[in-house]
Amino acid sequence: MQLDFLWTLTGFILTLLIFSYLFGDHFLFRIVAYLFVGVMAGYAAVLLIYQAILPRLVYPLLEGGALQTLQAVIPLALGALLLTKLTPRFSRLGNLSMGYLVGVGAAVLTGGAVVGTLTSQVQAATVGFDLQAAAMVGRNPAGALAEASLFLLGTISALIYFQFSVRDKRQKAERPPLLEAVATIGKVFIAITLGAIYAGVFAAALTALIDRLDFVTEFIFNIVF
Amino acid sequence: MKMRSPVVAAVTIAVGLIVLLGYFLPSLLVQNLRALLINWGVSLAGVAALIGILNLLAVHWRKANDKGNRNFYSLLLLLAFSVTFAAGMWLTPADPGFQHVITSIQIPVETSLMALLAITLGYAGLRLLQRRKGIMGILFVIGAIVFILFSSGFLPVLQQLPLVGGVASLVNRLPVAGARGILLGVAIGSMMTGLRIFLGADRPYNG
Amino acid sequence: MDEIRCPMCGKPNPAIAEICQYCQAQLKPLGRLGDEQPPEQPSPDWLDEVRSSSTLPFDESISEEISKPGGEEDIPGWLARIRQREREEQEALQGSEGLSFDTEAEELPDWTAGIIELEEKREEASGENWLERLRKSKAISEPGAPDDKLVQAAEEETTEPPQADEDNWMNQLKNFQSAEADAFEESFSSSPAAGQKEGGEGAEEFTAGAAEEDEFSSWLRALEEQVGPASPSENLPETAVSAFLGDVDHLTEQKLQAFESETGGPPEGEIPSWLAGNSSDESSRNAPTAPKEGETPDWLKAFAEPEAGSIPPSAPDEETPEWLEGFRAETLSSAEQVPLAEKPVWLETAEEKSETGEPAAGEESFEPPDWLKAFENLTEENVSQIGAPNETLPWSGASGSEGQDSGGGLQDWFSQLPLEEPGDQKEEELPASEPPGFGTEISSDDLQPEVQNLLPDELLPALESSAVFRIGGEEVELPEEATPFINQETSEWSSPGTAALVGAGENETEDLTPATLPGWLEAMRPVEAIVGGQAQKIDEEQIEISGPLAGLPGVLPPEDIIAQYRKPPVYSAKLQATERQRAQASILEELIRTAGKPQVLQKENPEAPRLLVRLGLAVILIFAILYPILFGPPTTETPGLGITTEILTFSNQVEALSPGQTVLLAVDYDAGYSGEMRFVAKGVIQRLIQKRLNLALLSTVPAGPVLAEDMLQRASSELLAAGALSAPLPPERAVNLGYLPGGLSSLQELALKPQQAIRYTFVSSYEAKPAWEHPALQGIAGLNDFAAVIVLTDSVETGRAWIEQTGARLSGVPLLLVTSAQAAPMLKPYASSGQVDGMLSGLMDGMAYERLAKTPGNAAAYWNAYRYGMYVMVAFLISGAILRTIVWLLSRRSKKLK
Repeated sequence: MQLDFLWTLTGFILTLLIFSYLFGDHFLFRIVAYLFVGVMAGYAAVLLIYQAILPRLVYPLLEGGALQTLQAVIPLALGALLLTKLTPRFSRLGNLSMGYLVGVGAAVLTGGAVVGTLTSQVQAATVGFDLQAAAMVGRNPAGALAEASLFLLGTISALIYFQFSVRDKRQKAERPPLLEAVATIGKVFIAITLGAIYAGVFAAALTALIDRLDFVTEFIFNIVF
Repeated sequence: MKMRSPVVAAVTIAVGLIVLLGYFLPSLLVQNLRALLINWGVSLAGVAALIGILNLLAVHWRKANDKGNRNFYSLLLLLAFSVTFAAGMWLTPADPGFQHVITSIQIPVETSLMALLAITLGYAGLRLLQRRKGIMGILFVIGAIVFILFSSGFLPVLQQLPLVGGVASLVNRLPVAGARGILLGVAIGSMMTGLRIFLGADRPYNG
Repeated sequence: MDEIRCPMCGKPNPAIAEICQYCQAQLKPLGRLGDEQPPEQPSPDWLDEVRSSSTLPFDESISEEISKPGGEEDIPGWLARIRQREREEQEALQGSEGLSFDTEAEELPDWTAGIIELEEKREEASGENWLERLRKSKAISEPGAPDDKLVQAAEEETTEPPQADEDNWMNQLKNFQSAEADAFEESFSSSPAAGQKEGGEGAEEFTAGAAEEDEFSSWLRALEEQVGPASPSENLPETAVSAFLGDVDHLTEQKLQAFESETGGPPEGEIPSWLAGNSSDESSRNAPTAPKEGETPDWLKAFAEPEAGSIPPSAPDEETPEWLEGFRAETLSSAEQVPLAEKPVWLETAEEKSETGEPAAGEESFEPPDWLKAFENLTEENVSQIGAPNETLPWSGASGSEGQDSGGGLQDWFSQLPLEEPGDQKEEELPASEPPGFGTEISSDDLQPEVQNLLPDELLPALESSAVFRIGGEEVELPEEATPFINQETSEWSSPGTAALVGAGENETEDLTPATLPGWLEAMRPVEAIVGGQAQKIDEEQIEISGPLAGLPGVLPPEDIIAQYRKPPVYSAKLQATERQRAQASILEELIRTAGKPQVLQKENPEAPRLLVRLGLAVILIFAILYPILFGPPTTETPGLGITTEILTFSNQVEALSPGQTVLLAVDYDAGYSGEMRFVAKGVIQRLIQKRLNLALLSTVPAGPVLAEDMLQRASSELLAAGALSAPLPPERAVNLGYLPGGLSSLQELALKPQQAIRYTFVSSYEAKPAWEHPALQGIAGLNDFAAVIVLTDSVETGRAWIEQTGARLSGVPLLLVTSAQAAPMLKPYASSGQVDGMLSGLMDGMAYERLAKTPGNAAAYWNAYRYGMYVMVAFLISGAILRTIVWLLSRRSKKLK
């Protein structure tokens, strides 16, 4: 119990020290920040060793069969090469491991984007034009159509706002007037979306503040009363 | 042994293409090979994260040992790391006592920083139009106000109204259009990035 | 020392030179030949030595003339003696036979006409005049008995001391030349004026040398005795002889030119005037006197009686004029090839003697000059390498008896002179500034007897050196000692002019090996001779044929220059800069311009007001939050907390789960969002616990496993506290699968092979247990075996990753999202598209679900705090907008007022 109290006290002190940043930057805040980074780095290192290195690279060599051992040798070798990235002299040896990581990550990212977002979201942008389905749920078809059109316009204009091309440094980036007009509409939708995101961020932060204030008050009440 | 760029590029492209093909080809061989390659990649990702931590320590070690400009805070960081690492290796991450590192240190600190964000956002909202001039700034402020009100319980009240309710609902759903456009743009950008790597146009691994 | 600057190359040349030593250009216009006075040159040492050792009669007048400082140029003693002898002979002939040596009055023999014609065309004077004098002297001896006169002169030569003989025969030779020239001019009208003038001057010389006519006549008579009385049949037609001598003259001229071009010509001051150029003044001034009457010139003696080995060796240090070396070599080698129509008797006699090796009949008393004797003694053993391929032999001093016994030899080498057509010069094939192989090795050929007979006796030892001369186009090595000029100022002799003379002979030899210069001579060579490289090959086609530069070789063809001339490129004075360079230059200019100027600091608001405002806002916000919590009336109403469609959908999905099923709960939010997620996800977890579902906790963030256990423990404790749970959550109903590294890759692996992705539970490594043996994961092989997948996330990327990587693998398994309020706008499209079956976002949705699920919690208190905080934020935004508007209006008004 006393140990718990000490930990709670630690949390309380840290909370107050972080709140003290409202008065400006000071050495206590920096101490807390550097301590926090060190503690988190230590925890992450322990977690990686116990959750990634040992079960994937060490245990298969010690306890696993031939197949598992063989499967562990290659990533072990790649991991050893990756360690050379710490030294500038031999860092080029780790390029193979980095390339492997980049290749796998790029493939997963690309496949997920194509399968999980592109196809489904494009399909979702047009599902609103299913007036029969809208009528089935009791919606006004005209309203549904207008809404679908509006949402489609917003989606396309927001997408056009992002220009996917290689920019010629010699020339200023200019688009045709029609695309520029559509991009302006998309800018409006993006601004609305960003406003919603801003509201959500504030809501999340406000909730965190509520939590911290509740913690502080609870601790004080527990201490005082 | 010097890893030549063409060899590394070849490995990168080969591995990436096999994994990518697994998304579209139901072949058992491709699927198994893809799973094996991804398994190696996950293991390697763990090693890469550990190397990142080691690099962080190396940087602060140099700062702490710099005779000209010794950094006290770096020394504190190294001390905190050492203690935490030693305790974690001894107690293991599943130990409830070691978990206080998260519950009593990380959570209070990060949550407090998040709480400060609320005050900062309030102050930023007060000076929002001073920094963002023009129609986009006004539109942003209006949207923020509307959605904050919607998030604070005004929406259900407005939805009860016959005509305003529909508009309110529509406005409440309006960010979806812009978000969908943004998501499509992000997805296309991710796809382009992956293709550039597969084509060898980008080689971020040649460090 | 006076110098003449070459108008072509600009290099200095001796004053007496008429052709540039380097570029073979005409230094003096042809029309002005003889106008310039040769500069006075000091007497070289070798010449003094020659004079001192010469046995030929030395004309005192000439010696005085030579020794006069600042007077006329120093000429070698031997040359002086030749001139003197010529003059004497001329005088003698003129007096005895009443010959008029006026070229205009007397008709010159035909056989000498060619000599004049060639002489007019020659460019090099050195070495020519002696032949000219020879012709004149011969003319003096004709028409009656030129051979007699030669013989007499040769006889006279023999009676004289060697030095005197040397002078005599040279003078005789000169007189002979001048006499011949004078006689030819009248018969050959094609002779240009220069030649006529030259011939006239030569006649004057001959006249001056008439005093020595007796001497000449004597040796000529001696020669005649040797060869026999001249029969009418033996009297060669004038045309033939003239042609022969003309060829000889031409050949001599060419050889001399070649030699000079190669060797650079004799040093300044050392070229006798009669040898240098065609200056008639020179020839008139320095013309050797005619041989005295009755005295046989040594050179002619050599023609009469060439005796092998009778030629005394010359002084070791004496040098043979190179032009003569080449001439001799040329003549001796090609004498046999020269088609002679008719030869004079004396020449035939010389040939006969050369062939037999014995003195011809009547020539026993004729002793060739010493210099010619030297040639007789030349053998292959005696020959050594010399520098100049053609080195002049000591005309006077080097040899004791100058050709007194070489009268027949003279004929030999005369007869052996190759017939060369005018203009058949091959000077272009010789390097202009390179000595004619002085000291170079050449193939040693035996000197022909004719050559030997021609050489003075004293010359032979001197021929131990590697002097080389050409005989009939063949290079013949001469003893080095035979060329007294080898060791003395040979570099000065290495002129292009002499080189040209040698080159003319070299071109005729095809089997010559290149000569090498000895080291000491190599060092003495002028730089131009080495660096200059190959002499300018005078192309015959490049000889100017018209204009003021007519006759000059090596003139740059104006047509080519004009054709090759191009308008020089016009370079713009403007700086050629590209656009990028200009832009960069402008940037640099701007940087430089602004570097010196102090930056205008923006007037910033003081830090205190900003801090106060921030503190004030913080106080307001904290008060708005704490007031409902601390001082708000206890209530459970949550006004405005509505149930939306998404909340209903999510609730329906959870309620559809059956007890005992396993739900995969992914706790993928950071520790900083744990406060919010506590409000959002607590109700869901409590509901899952209440429904007695098995929970498999998983995380892709490092703090996730700990956060998951913390949330599970809090939810369970609140349920226990609220009495909604009878017992704590048993450990077999929840399993913590730990941390998955790799982000997207780990999710893809989880979607493909969960058992490969997760191997052990999140427990101590000492108690590592296989995860899939846990009771909560009984019957779970893949993602589709879970009842539902609920993702707790705070970021758009994590939610999107779960949706993209696992959504396609989930068939019939609901994917539910519990997200932070900040991720809700970006993840709602997935919910609207059906990829996510239900989504809760933010405190409001979480409280609404708690209300809907009727889970215990103090939602009302926190809902009011949340609402008040949101209202304060709205107030902040509106206040900021109002303030900005007011400031803008005021500023606008102030601008209007201004």
